[in-house]
Formats: sequence, structure tokens, C-alpha cells
Amino acid sequence: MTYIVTESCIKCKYTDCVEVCPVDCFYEGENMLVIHPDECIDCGVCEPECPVSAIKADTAPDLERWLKLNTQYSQVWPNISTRKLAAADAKEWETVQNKIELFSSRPGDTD
Amino acid sequence: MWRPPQRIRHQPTLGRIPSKQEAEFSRLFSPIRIGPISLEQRTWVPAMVPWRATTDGYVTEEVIEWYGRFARGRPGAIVIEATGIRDIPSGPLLRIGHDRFIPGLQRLTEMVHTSSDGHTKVFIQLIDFLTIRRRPQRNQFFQRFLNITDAHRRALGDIAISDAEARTRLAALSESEIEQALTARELESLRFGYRERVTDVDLDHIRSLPSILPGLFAEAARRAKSAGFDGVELHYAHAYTMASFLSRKNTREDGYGGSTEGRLRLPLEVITASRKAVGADYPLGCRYLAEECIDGGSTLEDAVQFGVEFARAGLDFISTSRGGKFDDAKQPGVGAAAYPYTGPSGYECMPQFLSDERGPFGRNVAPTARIRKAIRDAGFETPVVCTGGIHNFDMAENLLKNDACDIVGSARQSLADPDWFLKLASGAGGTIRLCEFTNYCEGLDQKHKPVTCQLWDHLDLDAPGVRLTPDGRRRMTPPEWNKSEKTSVAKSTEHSAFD
Repeated sequence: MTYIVTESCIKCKYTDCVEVCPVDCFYEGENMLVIHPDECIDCGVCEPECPVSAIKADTAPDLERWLKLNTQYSQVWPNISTRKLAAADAKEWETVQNKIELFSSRPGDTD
Repeated sequence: MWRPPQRIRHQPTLGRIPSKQEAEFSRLFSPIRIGPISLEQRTWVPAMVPWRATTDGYVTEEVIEWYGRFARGRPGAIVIEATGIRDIPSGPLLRIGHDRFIPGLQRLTEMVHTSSDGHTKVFIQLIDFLTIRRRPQRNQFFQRFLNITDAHRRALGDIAISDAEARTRLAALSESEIEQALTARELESLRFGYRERVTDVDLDHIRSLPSILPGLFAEAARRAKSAGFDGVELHYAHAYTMASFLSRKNTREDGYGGSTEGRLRLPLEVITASRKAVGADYPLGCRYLAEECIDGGSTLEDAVQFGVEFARAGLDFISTSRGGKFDDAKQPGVGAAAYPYTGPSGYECMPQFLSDERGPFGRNVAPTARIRKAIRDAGFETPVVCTGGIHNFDMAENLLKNDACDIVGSARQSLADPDWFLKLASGAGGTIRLCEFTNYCEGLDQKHKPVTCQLWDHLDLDAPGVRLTPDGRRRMTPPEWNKSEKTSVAKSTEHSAFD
């Protein structure tokens, strides 16, 4: 069905992926991106672009929670198709575990 | 996009790399006649719309550069993208509905001929399509687009209300109430966007299609000839007008629908008119569906009959495709139009690497072989072109050896590496950039963005003379073959499944 964005994206939000997506199916939250599962065409081009390997095929194990989160927030957050600067402290968050507690459901800036 | 639930990964392979000598004596690189002309080899780049024309339908520098690049790979023939035969606005699709389009198209044919040093023939695909509109906003649909009828008033329980009142009340209904209040077609217009059918004979311009289309196709074919094209391919495939006439779903009762003969009538009249326009000594062929792959659609049995009749009508080549219909397309987002490659029939047309047991490579081979055999059994030598996921030498050569077809077409593999024919022919098959069949290109097409390939569109963006997409992210044209390159991006050299 789709690729999805997982935990590693939280607080890093590098946006390299959005530049290469042929169908513009990324949506932006305050501190994370998600993929719209119905719009994703499974081409997989975004997966190797992510510096923190946050993008996974939904066939990988134990991703139900993230699939749900991608499905839910891609319907309410704004679309993002142009790369923007990552958070200033993105580097520090790259290796942090259990970032789910820091997840923000607020939409990203639409500037 | 729909895809088979099995999600089996299919890996394309380079297959066995022929030596230069083996290639030279292969069927693939042997000539073939197409009516009065000859192709130097049996390789073929089928029509692909790369979204590079102006919104007025003219050839651009990008179009010229694009086809020039394909021509440098020297395939037997290139078919230029579906080009509209009417003189009406159709977005950034090439058009040939007026003589003013000829000079641009002439530059295009000259480019292909010079870039291939005269080795490649260039055909043009002529298309007619009916109106399709974007999916409307719900409110807009009820306030502006829906034609209010007494059926709506009855559904609302008040036959006396004004149109304006009916619109307001309909807009306030729940989804399940809407389903009761609207006809199936109205519901489709609300949920998918309005789409015309060849069976909408209550509309003048639809009823009169049989009297209009032969002339439009004939004029377009005449222009194609004068622009220097080596031949014409009539587009009788996928979701478009002529395929809809051939379809089992064509129930017109004016002699142009219903029975096989009725459904064939207009396509044959178009052939007759086009032939008259271009003369007997000019290649004229068509592309049509071996199977529609939709409920109630035409089957292989139909296609076998059609193929024989097309051959009998004197077509110089016949090219097959499959599926690609609107009937089972995915619901588009609000403001977008339905795209005929998003449902199961679309998958049959352009299958992706995630597939079922049959896989994405050669799904149309067996049906095409049956059509070809029926044409031969009827006593015609019309060459048949087969396409669909064919991407290495053994696959192509075996199709020819097994009489599945006479010419091998490859769209996506040619997009990934337009030099792949030339590389095979010169013993450099190991350097072929192998298509991964992710359908990245199709995603771009669906969004009406300039079509490129993920395998090359990020390479050497800073090199001099590289033309970029309007957003500056991708290069528009494949890089040139770097002949010092000795290894391929492909990972495997296993034998193909087509032995």
C-alpha cells in the first residue's frame, strides 16, 4: 500500500524526502512529516533520501501505530512539497530514542 | 493507485548480455517492413506523454530535445506522444488539429531523423478524447453544475420548489440520502467529476461523432504526412474515444455500437478516411486493447476479431496495449481529474514492480500472440507490436522467436535508458540503466508534471546546457551515454523468465 514516516522523524524533520516525491504526498506537522497512504504510489524514491531512515515500507514489522498516525494526520496537516530548513537542533535529536512522547499533533507552518 | 494485494516484489534483470556479433545476427536487430517502408530493427519506443508541449498544443524546445535524445539511441521507430486531432484547448498535450501546428511538428521529425543519423523512423499517435472535468467541490456541484430535474424535486418530496431551493436542500442531504436523490451519472459527476461517454447520444456532439471523426482523423493524418512523419498510429486504446467505440460497453443503437460489427464500424471508417488522406504508400497503423480488463468490457475474443478486421482494412501495423480505463479509476481528490491508470485496469496497462504471481513483465504477451496468430491465420502479414515491461535482450528476442509479435516496444525501459538498443547492438549491454518499474514516471504523469526517470533526473544538474524542470529540481532529459562507463547500475544478470 504505502511508505510511511516513523518515529525518527520527530524533532528532526529533515525535508529531503518532499523534494523527490513525484506525487507530492507529504504533509507537515509541527515537528514531524507524514505520508498520505492513499496518495503514495509506492515508488520508494523517498526512502533513501531520509538522513535518519525514518521512512519505511508498511510491510516492515510493527508499524501499525505509525500507519495509523500517517493516515490520520495526512488528512489534517498542510501539504509540503518544497524543502525547508530543518530545526536548528535537528542533529541533536537524530539518535534520541522514544521520541513518540514528543510528537506534536499541531500542523506545520504553511509559509 | 491500485495494485495486486499479493505485493510480490519483481526484480527486473539485465539478463544475458549478447555480444556485438550475436546482436547483429539477432531477430531484434533485423529489419522489418511496415507497409511501404522498412525499420532497421524491431525495436520501438511507444507513445508516452512527457508533458512538454505548450498549453496551446505547440511543440517546444523541450519536446524537440526530448525526442532528439530518444533518437540518439537509434530504435527502429519512435512513436510521438498522443497528439490531439481537434483544434480545441487540451492543456499541454501536442495538437495537430490545424495547419498552424505543422511547422513545429516538422522541426520535430527533422530532429528525430538527424539525431538518429537517419536510422530511426518517427510516427505520430493521433488521439481523440471526450470531455472529462475535475472533481468539483460538493457545494459548487449543487449550486452550479447539477442540472435540477423533477426527479430531484420528487426525491426531496416537494414538486413545487424552485431550482434554487432544490439546490440548497440537496446540498444539505447526508451522503446516503444523496445516493437516493441523484442518478448514478449525477453521483459520478459529484464524486469523480463529469465524464462524457460515447453513449451520451442525447448530446449533439456525441451523437454526431461518427460523422465528424473520420474527417478529423483524416485531416490530422494528412498534416502528419506533410510534417514529415514516416507514419501514423491511430489511438484506439485505453480510455479514449475510439477505444470506447470498440468497447462492449458501447450500446449505441445507431449502427455504431452493440454488435461487434457495430462497434467496429467507426474505427474502420476512420481507417478508410485516413487511408484516403495519406494514400496507399504511407504507413498507417493503430494501437488498441488486447483486453479492456474491466467488468463488462471487451475481451480477448473481441480483440482477436478486431485485429483481423484491422488487418483486412489494410493497416500496416498493429500495436497492442491493455486496460487503462476510467471505469475503475480511483476517486480523484477535489479539484483533480480522474486518471485512467489508477485502478485495476490501469495496473494492467502499467504494472509496477510490486505485483502478483504473474508479475509486471510481459502481461500482454500471450494475448498479443493470440491476436497475431489470428491475423496470420486469416492470411495477413501485418506486423504486430507488443509492449509491457519488456526490458532485456532475451525477453525481446524470445518474443520474436516464439512468434508472439514482430516488433518489441518498451516505454519505461527506454525512458530509463534511451540508449539501451544502441548499447545492446554494440555489445555494451552491461552498461544499460535498467528500469526498476517503480512507476515514479507515472506518478509525475498523473500530476501532469514533466515526466522524468528517478534513475537519471538528479544526475549532473550543474552540467552546462542541462535543462531543468520549472521547479529546478530535476533535469528534463536523460544524460548522454558516457562510453567510458563500464559497469551497470543493474544488480543481476540472471536469465529472464521468457525462455
